[in-house]
Amino acid sequence: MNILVIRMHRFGDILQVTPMLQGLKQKFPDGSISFLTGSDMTDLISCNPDVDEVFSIPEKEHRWFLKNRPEQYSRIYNELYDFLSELRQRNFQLIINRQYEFGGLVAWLLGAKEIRGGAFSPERGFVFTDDASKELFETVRTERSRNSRNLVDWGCRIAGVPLGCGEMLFRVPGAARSEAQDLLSRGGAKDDNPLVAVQMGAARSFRQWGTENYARVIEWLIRERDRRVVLLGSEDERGLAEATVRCLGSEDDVINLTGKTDFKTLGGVLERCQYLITGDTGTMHMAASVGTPVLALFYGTAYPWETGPYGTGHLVLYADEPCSPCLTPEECPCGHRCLKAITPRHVCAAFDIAESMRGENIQFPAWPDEAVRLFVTRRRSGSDQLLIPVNNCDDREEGLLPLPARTAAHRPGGDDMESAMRAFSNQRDLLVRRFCLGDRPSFIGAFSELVDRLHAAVRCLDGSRHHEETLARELMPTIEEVYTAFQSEDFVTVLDIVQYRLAPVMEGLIRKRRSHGTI
Amino acid sequence: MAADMLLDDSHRATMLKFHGKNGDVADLIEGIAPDGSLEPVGTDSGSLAVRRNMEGGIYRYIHSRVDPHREAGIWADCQLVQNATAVILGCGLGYHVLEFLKRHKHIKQVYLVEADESLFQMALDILDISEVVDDCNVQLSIGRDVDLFKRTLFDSIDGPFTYHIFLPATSLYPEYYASVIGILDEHLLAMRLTAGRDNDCGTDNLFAAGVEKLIDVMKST
Repeated sequence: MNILVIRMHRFGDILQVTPMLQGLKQKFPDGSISFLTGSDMTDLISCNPDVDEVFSIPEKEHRWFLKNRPEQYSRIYNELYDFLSELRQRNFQLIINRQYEFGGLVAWLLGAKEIRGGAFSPERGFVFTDDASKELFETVRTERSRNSRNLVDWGCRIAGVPLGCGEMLFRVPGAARSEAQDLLSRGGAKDDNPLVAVQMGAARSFRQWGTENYARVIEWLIRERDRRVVLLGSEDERGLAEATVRCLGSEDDVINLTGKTDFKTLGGVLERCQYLITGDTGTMHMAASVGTPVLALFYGTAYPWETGPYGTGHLVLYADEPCSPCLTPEECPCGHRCLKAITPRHVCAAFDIAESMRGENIQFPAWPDEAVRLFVTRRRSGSDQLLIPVNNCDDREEGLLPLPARTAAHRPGGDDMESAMRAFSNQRDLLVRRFCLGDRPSFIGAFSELVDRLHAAVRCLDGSRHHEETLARELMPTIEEVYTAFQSEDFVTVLDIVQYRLAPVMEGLIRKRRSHGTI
Repeated sequence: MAADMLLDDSHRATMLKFHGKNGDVADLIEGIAPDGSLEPVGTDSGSLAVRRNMEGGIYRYIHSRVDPHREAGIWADCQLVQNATAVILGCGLGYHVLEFLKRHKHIKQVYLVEADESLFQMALDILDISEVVDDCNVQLSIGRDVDLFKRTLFDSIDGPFTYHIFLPATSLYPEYYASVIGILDEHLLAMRLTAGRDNDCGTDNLFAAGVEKLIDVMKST
């Protein structure tokens, strides 16, 4: 069975597809699973053990050009035409579309025998052809508040794989783990520091809880619970982090990593943290995907039964207003009461409950407020995920308690150094390919990535402490030379150095370490 | 080294063929003085490469200093050739053109575009590209006259094509090649969409219209 799964953007949504991928692999062990996504999302899927091949389209960039530089239309048209023509030759038998109309069109252009999750035809337009997709559409359209099924479980139904067949999964590459450790160490984290991550931002302003609220929780974690707090977020969210630090009055106990992580290092940082406190964000799904328990705050449009963290043992605070989940948060007549209902007091109490659930002597403190509900998630094989009110939670329920440790699925496969070297080699191949396709901007991007991977590989070779020494001694003269060539746009020399000098030096370093028994 | 080669028999034979094929361009090439900024250099494999010396001591190599033939083979293998017509942008010394023709024998028509007359002159000197020059299926567009290129293209290409960029050569004249690529993209788009509208059935036209719709969806997202 030759299968293609389509999901182009939103990193949380892409991670929510990963349990379905495991289900597909179990159902078709000899089949091949390909994944089509946006170019900026490939890192989320490239390390997934259930995916055989990743294809990408620079969809975000295309959209920007189509809106701002319409003269690029012909280039984009031809690129898509050529790309899809090539993909069509793969003869996919089953396409699982998780990208609605766009995915439906792509699936139709590729001409698969069976399309699930929304298809397109010139006569009928965009239509749902499978029962699960029809049911999901009807449920969300007519009675969303009655939906008790997580989108992950909907995805499994749509794909026709058993419910609860897999976990959210992002496998952190060894090099990214080292890099994450470096970031945390530079921020002052010690090996034995218990860390709690906080993601303050959210894609939309009405989903942001507020820096003052977060600052109060962070201060409590530091002063009362002896934790170090890691601030996470994108480049755009630096302002939120700075405002929070101002509220705290000092940044000594906070490690501010906003704008410093990519998907892989974000996974590495979260893996190192005991918990993540967040709204309904992509980072929430990343924490669930690396096995880190989440304390998730849900209000406004976010509906925990639909998009809550998937897996067993995550805690969800939900402001259960009669109007929620709402469809028009921008015009809220209640003054965003749901956002204000959840207070720092609730989050601190939830944290203590989570701590209690991690211990051997489990106790459930009384939950203070009926207006805000607290649930714990439970994933079950063969059925939909449950949200269990914490007061009704029973520690006799098999598989619920204690909170989950990371499972085997979340552990990296193979040797860290090997994976770092493989990443370097793959990037070298990509650089050559970009050169051959004459794509100057992509070549430049691929070169920057290659240098990052080179550093990561050396870091793995020597351990993070000595990697800079090794770089300086063994590789720096060559790296300086390649940089000079790159700045002159002497791309031929860049490739010559990368292929015929850097790669052999790297291989030599590995041989040397192996013979010294350090690997 | 290049000056010596100008005199050899193989070069004379190539020029003769070139005159027979496109006398105007052959005259132009023969009439220009060798460009001092183009410097032939030896490579580890024994073949010759070339580099362009630029202002401020900067230079750019056009072919690998290790093995230009191998580099050209990798380039040619990477090209996705879907139609019987191909346009190659950037000739350099021609290694990759030879490899391309060798690997994609089903191609019926090739347009070879080189913005730099001096570089093409050097290609005739250094490498035996007489089979390229002699091949009646290969058309040459040498120099940087955008209008001439456009006219030639519209006159001669009447079916879908692919174009293939040799970055080291095209990056020496980014503006010219950007214009050429723009023309090629528009021409190709028009061909694909026309094919889609002229006929009500068939896979290709539906496919072309489907891609158009896909772009509409992207625009409205």
